[in-house]
Amino acid sequence: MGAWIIALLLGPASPVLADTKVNLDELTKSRLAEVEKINNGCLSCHAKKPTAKGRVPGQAPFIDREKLHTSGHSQIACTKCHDDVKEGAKPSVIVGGRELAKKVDRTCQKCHEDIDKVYEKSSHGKLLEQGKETALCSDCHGSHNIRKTSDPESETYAKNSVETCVKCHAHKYKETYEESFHGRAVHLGSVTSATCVSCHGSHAILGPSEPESTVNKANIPKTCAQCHLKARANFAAGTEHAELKAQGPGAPTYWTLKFFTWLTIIVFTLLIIHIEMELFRRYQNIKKGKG
Amino acid sequence: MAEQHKSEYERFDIHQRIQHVMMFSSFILTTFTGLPIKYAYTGWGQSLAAFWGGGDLLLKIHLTGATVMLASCVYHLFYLVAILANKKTRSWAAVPSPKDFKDLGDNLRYLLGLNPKQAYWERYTYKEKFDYWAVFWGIFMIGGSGLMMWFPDVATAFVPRWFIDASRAAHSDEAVLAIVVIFFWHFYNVHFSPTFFPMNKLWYKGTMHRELMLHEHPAELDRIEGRAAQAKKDAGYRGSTAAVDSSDVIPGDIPGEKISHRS
Repeated sequence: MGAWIIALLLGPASPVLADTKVNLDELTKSRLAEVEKINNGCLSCHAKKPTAKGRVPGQAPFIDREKLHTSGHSQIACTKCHDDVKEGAKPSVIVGGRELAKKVDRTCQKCHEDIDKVYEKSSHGKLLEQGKETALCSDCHGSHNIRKTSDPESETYAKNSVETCVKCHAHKYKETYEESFHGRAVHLGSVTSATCVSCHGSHAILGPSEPESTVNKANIPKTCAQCHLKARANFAAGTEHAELKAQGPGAPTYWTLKFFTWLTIIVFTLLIIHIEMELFRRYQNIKKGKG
Repeated sequence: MAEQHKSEYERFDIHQRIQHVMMFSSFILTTFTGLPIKYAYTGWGQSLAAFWGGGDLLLKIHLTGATVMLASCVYHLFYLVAILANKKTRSWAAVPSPKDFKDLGDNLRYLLGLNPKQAYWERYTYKEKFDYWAVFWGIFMIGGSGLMMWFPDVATAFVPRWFIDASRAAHSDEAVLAIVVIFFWHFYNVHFSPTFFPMNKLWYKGTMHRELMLHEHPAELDRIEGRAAQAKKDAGYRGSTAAVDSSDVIPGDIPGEKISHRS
C-alpha cells in the first residue's frame, strides 16, 4: 500500500511522462510566444487610445488590449482573422467598416467550419450570398471582445443577446418581447427563460414562411416544447409579440389592464377618503377635549 | 357590579390565526418578489431582483410564497366547510347584509359630525367584511391567473392563449391593487390607527378585551351578555347599554382588527 502511494507520488517524475510534458509545454510556449510577438507588433500601434475628439490623422484604429486579452481568442494571432494583413502594410491597403467585417467573416470558418455550413442556409447567410446587408458573425458575437455564450460579458449571453438582436430587429418585437414574461425574466438575469434565439434559432435562423423555420406555424408547438412540458397545438396557437392595443390580438390584455388600472384608482381613492375622514373625526374629538 | 363578565372575547380561533400568518407571510414574500417582475425595467426593480438572487431564483422564491398562500386558501376552504357543517359553530355573520349599508351611512355621518355616536357594530363591521371578501376574490384572481402562468401548457388545454396573456395582466394589476389596499388601508386599520399602534395583538392572541369590544362591536357584546332585547326596545339606540363611563371609550375609535373567517 505504502509503496503504491509512493509510486503515485513519484509518478509524474517518471522519465517518459516528464519528457512528454516538457515537450508539450515547450510547444505551447513557443506557439504562444509567436502569437504574442505578432500581436504585440500590431498593438504597438493599435493599442493607443484615441483622444476624446477621435483619432488624429494617421493614427491606427484602437483595439482594447484588456478586452482582447480576456476574450476567447486571446491566444490567437491577429493575422489569423486579418489574414490579408502583411507586416508594414500601408493603411490604404487595408479596408475598414462593413467591408472589413465581411472579409473577416470569411476567415471565421477556418476554425468554425461546422457553424459556417449551417449559417449558409440561414436567412442571414442567404442575404450574404445575394450580396445584401445582413448579420455577419461579428454583428452578433462581437470582434475583439468575443466570448463564450455562457460568459455574462458575452454579446450572446442571455440578457445581452436580446440587445444584440434588436440592434437590427427593433420594430415592435423589442417592445413586445420586453413586455412578455420571457423578456422580464431574462432582463432580471434568468438564464433559463427564452431569449430571441430560443425560439427563432441562431445560426440556422429562418423567417416564419420557411417550412424549416422553428417559428413556422407547423413547427411552433415543437419549438415551445423545448422548454415547456408538452407541445400542445393550442398552447402555440396564440399570437406571440401581440401589441397592447385596443384592437387586434393584444386587445384582451389591453382591456384587462385598463379595467384593473381604473379599479385600483377608484378603490384606492375611496379608501384614502375613508381614512382621511376617520382622522378628521379623531382630530375633531381631540379638539373638543373628548380625546 | 351586579354581574361578572368575561374580560376577553375570542375573535380568532387557532385555525384562523394560522391561516392569517400563512397569508401575511406569503403575501409579503410574493409582494417583494413579484414587484421586481412588474417593474423589471426600473433601477429599483432590478436591485430588488438582485437581492433575491436574480431572475431564476427570484421566480422560485415567488412560487414558494405562492404555494404557501394557496395552501392557506385550501386550509381556509376546508375550515369553512367544517364550520358550516357543524350546527354548533355555524355562522353567517361574515356575509354582507343590509345592516352593513345602514352601518356605512351611520358611520359616514358620524365621521362628518352629523351623528353623535358611531354605528352599532355587530360581530363584523363593513370594513372587516370588505377586507375578508377582497381577499376572497383576490385569491381567486391572483391564484387562478398565477396557476395558469405556472402551468401554461396545462392551462391551454382548457382556455385559449389570449386568455392566459390577459390573466398575466390581471395577475400583476390585481396584485398591485391588493398591495395598495393592504399596505395603506389594512395597515392603517390594524397598525397605524392610534387605537392599535403599533399593532392590534388580536392576530396572535386571538382575543379582544371587553373594553375594546364595547366600542368596536357593541351589538355583538350586547347579544352575548344578554342585553339584545333591551337594545332593540331602544329605538334611537347607538352604542352598548352596558354601564360604562363614556370616557372609557375613545371617541372616534375605529374597529379594524382582523376578524374571523379570514384566510
